[in-house]
Amino acid sequence: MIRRILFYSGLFLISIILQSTIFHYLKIGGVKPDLLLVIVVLSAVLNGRRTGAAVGFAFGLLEDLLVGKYIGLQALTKMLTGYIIGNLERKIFSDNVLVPIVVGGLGTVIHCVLQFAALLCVGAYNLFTPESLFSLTLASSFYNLCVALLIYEPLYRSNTRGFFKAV
Amino acid sequence: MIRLKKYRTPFVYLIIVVLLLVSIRLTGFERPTLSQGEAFIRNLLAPLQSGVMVIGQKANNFLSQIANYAEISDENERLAEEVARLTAENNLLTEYKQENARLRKLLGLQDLIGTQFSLTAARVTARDLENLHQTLIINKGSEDGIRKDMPVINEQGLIGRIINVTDRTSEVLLILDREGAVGAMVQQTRVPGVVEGLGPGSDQLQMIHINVDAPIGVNQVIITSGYGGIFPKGLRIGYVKEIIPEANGLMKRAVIQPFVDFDRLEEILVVTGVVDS
Repeated sequence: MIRRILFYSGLFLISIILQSTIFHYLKIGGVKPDLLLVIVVLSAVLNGRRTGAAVGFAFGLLEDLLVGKYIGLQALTKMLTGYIIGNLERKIFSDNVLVPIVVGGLGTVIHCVLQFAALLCVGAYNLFTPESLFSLTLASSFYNLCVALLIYEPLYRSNTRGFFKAV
Repeated sequence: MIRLKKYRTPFVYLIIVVLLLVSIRLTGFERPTLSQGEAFIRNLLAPLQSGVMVIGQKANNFLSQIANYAEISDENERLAEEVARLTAENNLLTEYKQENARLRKLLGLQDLIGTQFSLTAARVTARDLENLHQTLIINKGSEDGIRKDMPVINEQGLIGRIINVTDRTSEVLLILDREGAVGAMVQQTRVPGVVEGLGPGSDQLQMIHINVDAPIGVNQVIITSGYGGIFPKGLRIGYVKEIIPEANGLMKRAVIQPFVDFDRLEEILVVTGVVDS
């Protein structure tokens, strides 16, 4: 358990630094990949909904504290996304190459929808327009799907063998 | 008892969801200061982010140079000619400037001349974490005299304003952000309006609340109007790219192309005050 917490803490630190620095230069169509979200959905599909929700909540809350605005937005949406995607754990074979593609894309769509639903719930209508919502969801789903495809293999291996394997 | 246990997990999730929604609602507005926890995390990450950002900028510049070698070579030649022409023009303008200052003094418009900004230079150390917001982090904070709501500019024009300050870092809300609206006006015709971002993913702005009859045209320059008290009057924002009539037939809006290249910000200037000379 402690090894897994250490593993996810390290992943969080690396992701947050990459996301706030050099990922800015990798923007396509004004959108950059959400590495934290990709790790949340992949950990959910590998370990189930409870782990998915826990990792989503922890990653989201730390991200919220760094953003400093709408604190709880990422914790809420990443937790629920992890929980929903975690339900797929027993329904699919985790060594299939289609897993990261489906989970990366679907997880991002779910996350975007939850994010905008939560903002509407608290009355933050001004943050987006319907056009920007649609293009953001489409572009980030595609981008995150590609990132998921890249990092799924090492994450899968760390989950099944080696020092950090899940118990 | 068994039935109660069955509902325990959904109940815990429900409580967490409600608590988080309350937290989102309470922290959605700009706060006067960051909490100690938030400031601690930002100060802790700042040196790491700064180092990685410098590497990223250098790699990006190097790759751009390789991609644009032929273009840069032509541009260099063209710029050398232009420098020679501009140097001559600059000498002439210095004369005009002195003459202008003397004439303004004569007209008694002393409040319009001689004002200048006191500026603090800073380096961009990190960008926004998510696609929803448009912010950046700089390496100067309250120890360097930076305060909330100070405008941020560079040589191209207006960038945004400071929204959060820690001891050694500050967060800048870009004018591209939907919450970074600026009071503005058309430089030539003085038509006022409000400039705001177009939303996540867009690098353009729009000027809204323009009367349908107002004289505003494509390529006209938009500057800050000074209304609202945060941004001083006269900072360059962008130029009009397109005019779109609103559905109600009473108003129109203008799509603005900002002068600032927000993707390539490395050094910026914080306006710490406006001083009279």
